[in-house]
Parts: sequence; C-alpha cells; structure tokens
Amino acid sequence: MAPVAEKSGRTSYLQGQRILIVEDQSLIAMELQDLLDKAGASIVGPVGRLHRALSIAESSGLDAALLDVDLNGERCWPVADALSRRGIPFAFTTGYSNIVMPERFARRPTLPKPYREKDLLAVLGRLLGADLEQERANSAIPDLSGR
Amino acid sequence: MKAPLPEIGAADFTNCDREPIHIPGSIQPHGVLLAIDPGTLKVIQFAGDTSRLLGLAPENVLGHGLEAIMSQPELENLRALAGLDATIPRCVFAFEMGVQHHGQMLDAIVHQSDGALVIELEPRLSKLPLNPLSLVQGMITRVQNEPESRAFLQAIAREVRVVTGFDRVMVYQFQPDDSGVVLAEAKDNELEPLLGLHYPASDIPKQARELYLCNRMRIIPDASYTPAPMSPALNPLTGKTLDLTFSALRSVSPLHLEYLANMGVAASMSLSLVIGGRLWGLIACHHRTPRYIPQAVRSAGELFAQMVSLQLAEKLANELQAERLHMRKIHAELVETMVGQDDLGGALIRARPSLLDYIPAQGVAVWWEGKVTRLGPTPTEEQLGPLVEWLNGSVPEGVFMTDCLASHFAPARDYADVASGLLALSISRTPKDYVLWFRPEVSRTVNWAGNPAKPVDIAHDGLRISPRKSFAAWKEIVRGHSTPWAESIADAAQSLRLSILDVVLRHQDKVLQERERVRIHQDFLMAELDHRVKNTLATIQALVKYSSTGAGSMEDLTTGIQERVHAMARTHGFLAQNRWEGVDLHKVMAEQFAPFGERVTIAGPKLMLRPKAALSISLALHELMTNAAKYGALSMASGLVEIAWSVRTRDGERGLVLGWVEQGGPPVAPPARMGFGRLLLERSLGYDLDGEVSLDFRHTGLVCTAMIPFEHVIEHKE
Repeated sequence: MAPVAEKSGRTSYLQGQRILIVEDQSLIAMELQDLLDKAGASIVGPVGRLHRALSIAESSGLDAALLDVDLNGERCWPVADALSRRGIPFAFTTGYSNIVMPERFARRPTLPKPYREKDLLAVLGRLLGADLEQERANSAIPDLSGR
Repeated sequence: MKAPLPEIGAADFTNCDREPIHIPGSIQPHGVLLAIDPGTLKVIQFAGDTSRLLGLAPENVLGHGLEAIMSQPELENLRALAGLDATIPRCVFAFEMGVQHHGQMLDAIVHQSDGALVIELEPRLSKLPLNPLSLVQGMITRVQNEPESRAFLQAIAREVRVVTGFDRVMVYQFQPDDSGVVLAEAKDNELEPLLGLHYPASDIPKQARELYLCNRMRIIPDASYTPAPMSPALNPLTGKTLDLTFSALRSVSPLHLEYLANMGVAASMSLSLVIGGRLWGLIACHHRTPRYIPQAVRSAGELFAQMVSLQLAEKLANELQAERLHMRKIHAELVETMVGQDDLGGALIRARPSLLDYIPAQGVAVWWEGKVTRLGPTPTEEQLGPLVEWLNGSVPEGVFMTDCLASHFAPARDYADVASGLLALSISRTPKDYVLWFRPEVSRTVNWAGNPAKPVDIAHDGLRISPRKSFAAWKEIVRGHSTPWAESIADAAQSLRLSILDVVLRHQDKVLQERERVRIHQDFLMAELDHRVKNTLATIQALVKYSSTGAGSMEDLTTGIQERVHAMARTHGFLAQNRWEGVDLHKVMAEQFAPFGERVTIAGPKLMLRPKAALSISLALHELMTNAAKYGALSMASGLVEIAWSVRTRDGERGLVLGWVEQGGPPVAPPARMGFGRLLLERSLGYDLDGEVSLDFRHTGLVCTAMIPFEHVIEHKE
C-alpha cells in the first residue's frame, strides 16, 4: 500500500490523527514532527524521556505512536505495553540493527533509523489502516526492519 | 613391568630355579643325621660319619635303637617329643648330650619330616658356656637406638660380626624384581667392600628364597665339604627322598658351593629378615676359612634376626609414612606453583622442589601445548615429538610406566642411554599434554657385583653354569632396561595427575570464560556503535534538511553543514579517545575556541560530561560561536566572550550552570524570527538534555545561560 499524498502535501489517512512521537534526539524528533505536521497529522509530543512518554501513553487520546527503542539508555518497553493495553497501534524506530525484541513485540513493525519519508508514511498508513486484531490475523506485514 | 626372558642362555637360568634343593639326599658332614620311626624309636635312615662322631659303626646304626649313644633321660626326652601330637616343623633345640666316644659333647636338634623324627647331632666345638637369650638381649640393646633404618641395618651388620666373628657380615635386601642390593656391611679391613653392589635375582634362585622363608637360618661351616649321602637313599616310611627343608645339616646346592668358592668364601651363615610374611632380605655372613658357629650363637642369631625384623618393619613403616608426608608436601607445592600460571609446563619445570624430587628419575620433560621444557638428561626435543605422538595414539590416558621403552616403541632404542625407563602422565583431557619422567639404562646407574669381563674358569659338566657367568648374562637381560618403577610411584603419579588435571581444567575454564566475556563485551560494543552511527546519520539527515532554512546561498548551506558535522565529529573523536566514557568539558571548549585565542576566556571546575551531553553541549556552543562570529562579539576584533560554568543547586536539584557572555561587539537587538541555529541551541540543551536555556539579547551583547541536570555530569573524584 503506497501512501496517498494529496496535492496539498497532506496525506489522507493522517488527517487529524493524533500521533505520539517518542524520540530522544531533538533533531530527529524535530524532523519527524515537521514531516507529520505537513502531512496533516496532529502531533502529541515529541517526548524524549521514558516517564513523560509513559504518562502520555497511559492517558492521552492517541491514534498511533512512533517509539524510539532507546531513550537515554532506557528501553521504551513500558510505553509499548501501555499502548498495547489501550489497543493503540504503534511502530518502533531504532538505530540498532540486530536488536532482540521481547517476544510480545516480535510482530510489531520496526522502522530502522535513519528512515526515508515514504517508509515512515507507509508504516503509519499500515498502523492506521487496520486495527490490531486484523494485523494479528494477517501476518503478511512487510518486514521493514532491514533484517 | 617384568623384563621378558632373553633368548640366549634361557636354559642356564631356569637350571637354577629347577634344582630341588630341599631334597638333596645328603647332608654336610660336620654332623650326623638320624631319621627315627616315632613308633619304635629305631633308626630308619641316617647320614654322616657315625663312627667318628658317635663311635658307632654304620652297620650298628640302621634298625637299631639309640640306647648305645643316649642316656635314659635323653631317651625319655626323645620319646616325649615323638609322642607329641603337634608336629614339630621347625628345628627344636632338644638337648645336649654327651657321647661316650672320646667324651665329645654333642648338640641334638630335633624336628619332624615326612612322618619321621629327625635328630641332627653336631659336636659342640666351643668350650664356652653360652646363654642364647642373654646374647640376644645384649645384641638388641646395642642396635635398637638407631632411629634411621640404614644406620640400624649397619648396626645389625656390626653386631652380628662382633658376636659371630665372621670376616664379613652384610645386610642384603631383595628388590621388587628379586635382584638384591647390599645395604650394610661390616668386614675385615683386608676385604674389598661389597656395600652398594647389586646382585642378579638368579644368584639366589626362587626355591632358595622360599627355603629362607621356611628355615630362617642356614649355615655352611666348610664350603669345601664332601656331601654325606643318606642311607638308605629313600625314607622307608614314604618310599621317597627325605624332605630336609628344616634340616640344619642339609647339603646345599653344588651351584651355591661353586658360587661361594668363586667369591673366596669358605664358610657362610644366612639369617632371614622377614617382614609381613615376605622375605625382605638376609643377614649374610662370610668367612675366608672354614668356621663353625656354636648352636647357642646360632639360636641367638636366629632370634636376633626375628626381633630386628620387627623393629625394621616399624622403622620402614615410619620412614614410608614420613616419605608420604614429604611427597604430599612436594605435591602441594608443585600444584601451588601452577595455579594462576599461563605457561603450566614452564611453571612445573621451574618449580622447586622439582618434579624429580617427587618421582625419583634422572630427567623430566613437560610437553604442554606443543611446547617442551626439560630438566636433567632426557631425549632431545626432536626425539620427544614422535614419542608424544606415539603416546597419543597408542597409550590410554592416565599413567604409563615401562622400564624398557624400546620394547614398546622401537625408536627409543636410539636414546636408551637416557630413557630406558619412562613414566608418562597425560595431563589434559584430550591426552596431548604430558609430564614425562626418564630413567637411564640400569647398567649406567647400578654397581653390579662380579665382573663379566673376567669370567672365572670353572670346570663343569656342561649342564650347569657357573654363578659368575650369570652376571654376564644378566647384563644382557638388563640391556635397554631401567630400574623398575615401584607401584607406590604409580600411585604418586596418579595423584599428581588428578591435581594437575584439576588446575588445567580450571585454567581452561578461565580462558574460555574470559574469551566469552570479551566476545559478549565486543558484541555489546558493536551494537552500541551501530546504534550511535545510525542515530548520528539520522541527526545529520535532519541537520542537512534544516541547515537549508535561512541559508543564503549554496555555499552558505555547504559551509553550515560542514561546520556542524565537523563539531560533532570532533566531539566523537574526544569520546572515542576516552572509550565513550566521557569528555572533559574544558577540553571540548578549549579545542572549539582555540582559533579565537584570548578573546574567548574559559573558566570552570574540572568535570567530565557524559557522551550525549558532550555532543549536545558542543553543538550548542558551535551555534553560539557561529552566531557570534557572524553577528556578535566575535565579528569584531574588539569583541570578547566569557564562558564560565559552575555546579549549583536550585530547588533541591543540582545542575551544571553554563554562562555565555558576549561584549565589545556590535550593538545587539533581538532577532525578528527564530533561526535554525537558535532552534538547534535550544533543542539540543532543552530537549536532548532536559535542560533550561535562556537567551538575553542585551545591547552590550548576547548573554546565554543554560542549566543542565547534573545526571549528565560524571563527578570528578579527586
């Protein structure tokens, strides 16, 4: 599924969607924010600290999330768990090539850094286009981790 | 390991072992032997010169009673002995009796054999009244204070010589291979010493050793005697030759007489030393002229030998125990030397006390991880390679001992002089590492009695060989052999092996663990490096994108990106130097502002920044510097920048406070819009480090203040 970009630069399925950005590197977070902003999404964050990300993930209204695996030396798993509990779709972003994910997250999409704009939009499209139940049933999620 | 019998002269040796010496059918003629039917007390067999010693013509002996030569009480004694239910296996000194003929006194010794009562009568040649018990008491008193076994044996030889008057008294010990060695000697000054000499096992053949165990005293007053035959030849009670095992007068092997004659010995006496039911050795007495030993002295000697055997057993047991303790100590010291050493082979060889103190051998080599270290005479390194290869392929792991290596491994013939004996200890689980002890060929270490180069000419009937010639043949047997390895040595080697294996395994475990630890650490470092590189690339991707904002020309864009990437790269460089542990803040500043010389002053306590803070702060400083160089204090020659930092506590939180104060530059006004540089400055300190940044665009110059949480600082321990 290719991202559908409208003439205005907005992407239809991102319109008004509340996307949480968890990323501890300011420049990368800034870039993400700009990109999604232009695509029409409504950004929550960005946040770079685990405890802040966790409180947002537990309570804010969200449609999807992008989680950086390493947050100043801490793993983002508690945030992922909170999102899972609430049924909010999310994708991981990481600079690690061979990271071993906890078993419970093995089928979540992972976006390797540095990523291209179109790959990012494709992952978000997948997160927003289908709910988790369908994702589980359909295991043919393209592997974007580069592995 | 027993030496195989040689091809040559094999018959000659078994000759000795086959001779039935307990039924010679004759006696030594210095006494008379009478075999009596215990029922009738009449003589059924006799030997010796009855006419001369008893005044009885032979025809008046056989079939007669003993009334003619014995008194009534003596006959009663004899009757009582004959009526005893218990057998009398050993010689019993029954009584002394006077013989009417020439008024000669005789000693009568009685024992039972083959159903007959055997009476042996010897003339008492000594006039001195001797009490065997007090004689023994005196002898024992004079030897028992020697605590050490060798000195004790020497005292025994000396004491026996004093009491018996023999020219030479030796204590002779049987070795595990039945050869013998002279351990102590007391002798006439004129005689050549035999102390320390070894004798082949064939010198005292097997059945002679067995007889010494049964009958613990043997005496030959005159080795040049002519044997007196038994008459009749066979015992009428059994129809066989009378068994003279326990006879004092038993005629000895002609081979032995030949042997004595060769040695210039005319009289001999042997007393057995028996320990734990085993013939340990002999007290061997020699005299150059015929010598008769009175019965009382013989009894004393026999008792003395029994008593010193017991004492010797105790001393040897004590010495063995002390030796074991000593070995255990050496063992412990050897193992201790190895612990924590990478070169176990070298450590073992260098250890003092050495491997040669632990296992008695002349040379030792340690083959460890393909490297060989040696001590004492051993085969060469070139010779050891094939030997170890052979051991690996042919010998099960553990302890391997041989006293004739060449019979197992033919190439060893070339170095039999240093390595006829081998004790090999495999000291790793896959048997590729060894400790190898070597013993030289036996003839190089041992003094052999007799000189095979000077055979003594003795006429013989061609069936028997002379004892002297046996030495030469013995030399052939021992060619290529070392002294044998005792069983106790195998035990000691096995116990050392277990200890070494333990150390080796622990050593290998340690090496493996260390390798695994390094591997895990390297994997971790690789993953972290990967993570950093990817994040850096992502950051640069963003940098490139944002640097274009506000860049006037392509050149400005390129320079802006280059400078920022350069600032990041420089900090990466510092971090790499410190193994990514941290960077000295002062160093970051000094390097960055070096081009401005004294126009930029830097002041603050020494502290280290964690990697992420170092990268963010250096990027922030870069932006401040770029701004100052374009629009602020550093754009004019008069402008100055003061950078200062300190550690402060605010609202209970410790933090690093960084100040940037520009002055002397052009007048400053707050910018109309937020440039990327300012965004980068605020984000890298505010977002990345969770700090606070304030910019004050004073007229005199920009003032920037930042508070960074103290978690980004590695406290400097002075």
